[in-house]
Amino acid sequence: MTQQSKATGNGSNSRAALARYAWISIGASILTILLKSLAYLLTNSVGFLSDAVESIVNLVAGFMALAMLTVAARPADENHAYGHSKAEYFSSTTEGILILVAAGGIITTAVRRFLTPQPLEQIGIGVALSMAASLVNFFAARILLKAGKRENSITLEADAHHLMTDVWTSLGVISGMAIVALTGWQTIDPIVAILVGLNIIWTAYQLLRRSVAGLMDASLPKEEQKIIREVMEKFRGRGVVFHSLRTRQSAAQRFLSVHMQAPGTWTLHEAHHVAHDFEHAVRDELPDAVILTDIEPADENALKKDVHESTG
Amino acid sequence: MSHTEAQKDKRSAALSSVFAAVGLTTFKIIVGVLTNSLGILAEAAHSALDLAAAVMTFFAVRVSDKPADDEHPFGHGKVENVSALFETLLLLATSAWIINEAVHRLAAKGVEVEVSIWSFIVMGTSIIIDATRSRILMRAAKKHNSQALEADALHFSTDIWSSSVVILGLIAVLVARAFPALAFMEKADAVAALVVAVIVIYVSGQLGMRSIQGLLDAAPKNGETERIIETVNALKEVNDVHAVRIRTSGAGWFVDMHVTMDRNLSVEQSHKVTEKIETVVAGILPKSDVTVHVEPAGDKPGTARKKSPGPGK
Repeated sequence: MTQQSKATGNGSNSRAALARYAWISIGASILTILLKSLAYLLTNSVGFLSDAVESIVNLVAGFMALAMLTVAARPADENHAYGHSKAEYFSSTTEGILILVAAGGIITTAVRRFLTPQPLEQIGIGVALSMAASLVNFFAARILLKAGKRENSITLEADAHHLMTDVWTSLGVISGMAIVALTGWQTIDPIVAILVGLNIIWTAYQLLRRSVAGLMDASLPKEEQKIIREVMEKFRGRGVVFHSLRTRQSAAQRFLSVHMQAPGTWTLHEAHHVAHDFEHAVRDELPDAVILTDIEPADENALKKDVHESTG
Repeated sequence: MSHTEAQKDKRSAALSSVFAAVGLTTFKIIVGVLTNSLGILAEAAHSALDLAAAVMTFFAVRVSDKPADDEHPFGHGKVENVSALFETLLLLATSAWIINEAVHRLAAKGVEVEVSIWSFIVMGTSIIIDATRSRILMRAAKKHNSQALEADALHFSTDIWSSSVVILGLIAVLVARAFPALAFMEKADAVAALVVAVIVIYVSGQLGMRSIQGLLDAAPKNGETERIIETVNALKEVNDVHAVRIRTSGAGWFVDMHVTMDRNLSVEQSHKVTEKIETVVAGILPKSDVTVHVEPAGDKPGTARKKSPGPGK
C-alpha cells in the first residue's frame, strides 16, 4: 500500500530518492575540506588545518545520513514489519550529538580567547577561501533544509543544521572582525563566538529532543491529534463512537490505532464500510498515516458516552 | 509477581547499584586523597562515571514503568532501550580510552607504576562490590526482561574484569621488580588491559545491536509470527490472516493483524472471535497488547472463502 504524500509519492522509490540530497551534503563537505586545506597550504596557519580536519566529521556525518536514508527507504520485511523509517532517528541523534560537540569546541575556544586575548588573523587569501567554503555549506544546508521539511525527513533537517554550524561559525568570525575593525574592542570576538555556540546548542537540543521522542514512540503533535479527534467526532453521526486513540510518529510515517464501537447487530460489512470511510477521512488530512481500526460491539449507553474517553 | 511488585523489584535493583556506586566513589576519593595517589584518584573518576550510568539506569527503570499516557500512548518501555544504548556507548568509549592508554604504556619506556597496599585494597573492594551488584542486576534483568538493567549488569561485570586485570598488573610489576630477569612483566598489565578492552567491545557491541533493534521495532526472532499466523488461521471463523506485525515494548509486545471473516457475521459475533484471537496470541506471546482489524470476506479478491494456511503478507 502506498500512501501519497502532499509533495511526492511516499512509496519506497521516492523515499530512496532522498538519498541524492545526502550526496549534495557529501559533495559540500569534500569541497570544504579541499578549500580549507588549500587555505592552510597557502597561509601555513594551523587554524585552517584543524578546520579542514573538523570538516572530515561533516563528511562522515553525510555518509551516515546517506546510509540511514537508504535503510529508512526499505519497505517493511519479516524482521521489521513496521518498516524502517525509524532509522532516520539514528542519524539525526548522531548529528545532534556532533553539533553539540562542535558547539562545545566553539565555546571552549572562545572562553580561552576571552581569557588570553590574541590579535586577530590578518584578512587574507586563507580567510577568503574559508569563507568560500562556508558559502558552499550555506547553499547546501538551505537545499537540504527545504527538502527535509517538504519530505518530512528529520535526517535531512539534521544534516542541514550540522552544515549550518560551519556557516554560523564563519558568520561569527566575520562579525567579530567587523566589530573589532569598527570599534577596536578585541573582546567582542570571543563573545560573539560564545553566542554563536549557544545558538547552535539550542538547535542541537531541539533535534535531539525530536529524535529521542521519535525513538520512544511519542504521540503525534497535539495539532495533528486535534485534527484526528475532529474526524472521530464527525463520525458520531453515522452511529458509531471512536475512542482509545493511540498515535505515534516513526520519522516520516504516522501510525494510528483506534477503537470503533458499533451496534452489535450491524454486520461486519456495514461496520467495516464506516471504518474504511473513517480511515480515508483521516488520510485526507494526514497523508502517510497507517491506521488500524478495532471494531467492537457497543451497548446503547456507550454510544452516548463522550468520544474522548480513553478507557475502552 | 504483580505489576507493582515487579516495579519495586526493578527499582530496588537499580537503586542498590546507585548506592554501591556512591559508596565506591567516596571510598576511592578518600583513599586517593589520603595516599596522594594519582592512580587511585583515576579509579575514583572511573567510579564517578559508573555512578552516572547507574543513576541513568535508575531513572530509565522508573520512567519505563510509568503507565501509558497522552504523550506516550504506547507506554514508556522504549526508554529502557535508549538507556541500554547509552550505557553501551559509554562502555565502548571507555574501551577505546583503555586501548589508547594501553598502547601508550606499551610504547613508552620506563613508566613508573606505583604500587601500594592501598591499591590492592581499593581494587579488591571494587571487585567484591561489583560482583554483588552485577549479580543482583542480572537476576532482576532476566526476571523482568529489562534491557536497561541488563546493560547496567554488563557494565559492572566488565568492571570486575578490568579491576582484576589491574590487580594482576600490579602483581606483575612487583614480580618484575623483585626478579629483574622478568622485567618484561612490567608491560603485562597493558597487554591484559588490551584483551579486556577487546572483549568488552565485543560484548557491549552485541547488547548495543539488540537495543538498536528494539528501538527499530524489530520483530521477535523465535518463529512467534509464524506460530501466531498458524494458530489464528486454524480458528474456523477466520478465513485469512495477514499483515501480522509484532514489535517490542519494553518488557512486552505489541501485536496487530488483519483478519478476514464472513461479511454477514454481526459485530457482536466477530468481536467474540477477536477475543478468542487475543487469548491465542497471549498464549504464544505473554504480555502482549493485541489489536485485531477485521475485514469482511469478499471485499478483497480471494478472501471470500477460507484460505489454506500460508505465510502472512
